Amino acid sequence: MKTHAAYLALLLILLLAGHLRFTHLDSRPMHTDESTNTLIFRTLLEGDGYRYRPDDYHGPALHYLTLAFYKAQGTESFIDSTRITYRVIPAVFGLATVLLLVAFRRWIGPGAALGAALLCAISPICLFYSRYYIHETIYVFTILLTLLAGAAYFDRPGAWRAVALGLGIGLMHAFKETCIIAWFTMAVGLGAAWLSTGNNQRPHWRWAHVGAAIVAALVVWIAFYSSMFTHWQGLVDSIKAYGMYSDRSQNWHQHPWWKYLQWLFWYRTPPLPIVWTEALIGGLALIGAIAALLKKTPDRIRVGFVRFVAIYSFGSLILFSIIGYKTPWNALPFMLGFILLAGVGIAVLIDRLRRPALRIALGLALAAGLWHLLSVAQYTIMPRFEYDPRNPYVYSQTVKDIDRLARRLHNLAAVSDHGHAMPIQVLTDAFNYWPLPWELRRFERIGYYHAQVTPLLNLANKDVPRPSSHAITELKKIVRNDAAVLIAEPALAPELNKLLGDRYICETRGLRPGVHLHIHIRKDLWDRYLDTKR
Amino acid sequence: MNQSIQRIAWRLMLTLALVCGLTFMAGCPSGDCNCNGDGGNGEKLVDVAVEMPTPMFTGTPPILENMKVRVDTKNPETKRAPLQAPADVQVVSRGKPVTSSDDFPMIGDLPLVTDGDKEANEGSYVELAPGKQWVQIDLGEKYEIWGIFLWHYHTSARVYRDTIVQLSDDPEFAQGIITVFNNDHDNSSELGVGEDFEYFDEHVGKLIRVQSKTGRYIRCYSNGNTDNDQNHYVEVEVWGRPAP
Repeated sequence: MKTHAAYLALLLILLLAGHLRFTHLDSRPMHTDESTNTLIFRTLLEGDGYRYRPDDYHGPALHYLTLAFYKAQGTESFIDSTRITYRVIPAVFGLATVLLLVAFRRWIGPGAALGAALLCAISPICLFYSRYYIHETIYVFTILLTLLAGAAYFDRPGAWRAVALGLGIGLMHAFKETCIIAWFTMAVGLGAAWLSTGNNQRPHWRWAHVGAAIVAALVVWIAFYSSMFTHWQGLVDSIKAYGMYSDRSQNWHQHPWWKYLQWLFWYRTPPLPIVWTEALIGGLALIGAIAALLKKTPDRIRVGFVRFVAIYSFGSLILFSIIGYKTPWNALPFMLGFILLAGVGIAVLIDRLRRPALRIALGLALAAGLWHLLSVAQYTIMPRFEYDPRNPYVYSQTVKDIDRLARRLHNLAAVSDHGHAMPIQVLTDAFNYWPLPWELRRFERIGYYHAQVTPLLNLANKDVPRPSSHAITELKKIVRNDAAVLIAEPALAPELNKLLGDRYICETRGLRPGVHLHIHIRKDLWDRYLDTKR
Repeated sequence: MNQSIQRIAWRLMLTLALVCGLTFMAGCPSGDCNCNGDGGNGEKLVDVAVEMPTPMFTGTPPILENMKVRVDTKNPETKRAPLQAPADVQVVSRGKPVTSSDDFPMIGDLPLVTDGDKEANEGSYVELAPGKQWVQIDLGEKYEIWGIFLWHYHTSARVYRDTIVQLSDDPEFAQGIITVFNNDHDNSSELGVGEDFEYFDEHVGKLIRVQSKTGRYIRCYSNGNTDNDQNHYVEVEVWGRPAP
């Protein structure tokens, strides 16, 4: 009966997790990173061949995985693919992560494992990034696979388990090169847990198993980073990447040390009456970790494993907090550890509070906490907040206006003699045009001029009389006479205004909060379009 | 021959001067000029002194000239001429009841729209649901309206889409509608193509010069903004006097 109840509970958790992960996957505009990933995938899909680049695009496994999903969905061409084509991948792996947590029941007990699965299903950060086409959710899934294979191996060493562990380690690296932080904290956790449990016996591992694990990890590394044995430079570049990431960690996305704590546990933007917090998970994780430290866990829970997870999770939090570079999705690897610990925390509380009144109080408190967590999760993904910077997990997100911009251009194409072959020019710097290559993928003649425009933008920042004759001369070389639409940095307005005169009308569109684009539309085309609206 | 050409030229110039003078006497048709005139019935007009809130951001994104659908740089709101109105014109919207297409705003309450607080601080604005929404002020009786000041949100530079302001004596706005401002240049809100300019919301608000039109209800539409789909209102301030 108890087993049936557990299966039923798991089914309900999976249904809830699936519902939250798969509904209206297409409503949020593509983030810059998502659209970049789609364009990298395009090179793999359309025969140009994928080549690993060490400059901030992360591991190759996502793109090969995308190819499998793309084929499975029967998508006809890149142009026909939609946001859902890509976002369904993290959604599937987000759901699989919920399921995989249950596999830890041997080490943390079935109750704790189910609790962890439920918390993962409704954790706002896990949910939000399960709907986000970047590496993190799948990377976190590979972390969980590695933990599981490792736990299974140290439980009962065997060749296949060693190979599974090696594959897990290799896949972690194939998704994100920054996995070395996780490897480090895992190694520290392993050593500390082993020493702290007072088990003086050497684990029953064999050198042959170690060799098998290393070979498995190397095979994964070589296969993915060499673009399936076609681009050997990729292997060298995957090592070189650490130099670049080392530089980035000190210059890009700098935030104070406490930023992860704020994002996860207390994020408030008055007067919005919503506090984004996953303090329930944090609090329960602390209880689980402290109970393991004091050996106060129920008998079914392996103290050594919980201590290992605690050291991995808190160690990762500390390391990521020390590093200046911070983005909210980087919290996922240690949040997953907190979720496992929180499952243990629930089991500890149920075990320690045995009087009926206390259990009822605990049940009510947990129900209230879970309800709050679910509410926050729903806010996190509701169309109103899923691109709103007041949501802590929305980071440098494209605004909804980009949808209107794309719609406008499609409507103009509908009245243009050239259709989607009408010439479009994008005059922005290298940062302010994404995700246009994705959103405007249907247009056949669209040019991006960031290399030519960036020096002009630098000029615009200097104290020179505007409009600058030099900038106008340079723009004359770029701007086509027959351009149907020009998408430009507002900083170029004085020069473009002079150059275009009244042949174009202009709209202002948002790209990201506070970042705008000017859309110059050729007057005859605009008038034709307007005739359809009158 | 030369003399007759000169005579014709002089006559043309005199006619032109006469037409210009009459136009000036009748007041500017665009409603955007900075002329010290009268209300069209000999009544003396004076500058209206409006209390402005604290600026929350500096600088406005660069803007364009000589374009029909654009941000209006020739007459930026920060450098606009004061509203001119008869001396007995005053704020007639303060504390008046406000209704909306969104009955349960996520942030703030509808009375904030007419409470006189124009600051962009937390607690000063109401946030309506995404998409096309409106707020409506019931002035309580029919007023002769001279100007409407509109503050959507001025903490950061944003353009609010499809800003449309209408007057009517019908609370349902089914008949007798006077549209005094409309910058929905592509008719996306389906209330007609607007010819007014888009603008960045700033601390000085948007002045809509109404010039003596009567109505009891004021309805302000918007349809999201360049940052998000939400609609915000810090304040709507209506200047007028009881209708004769």
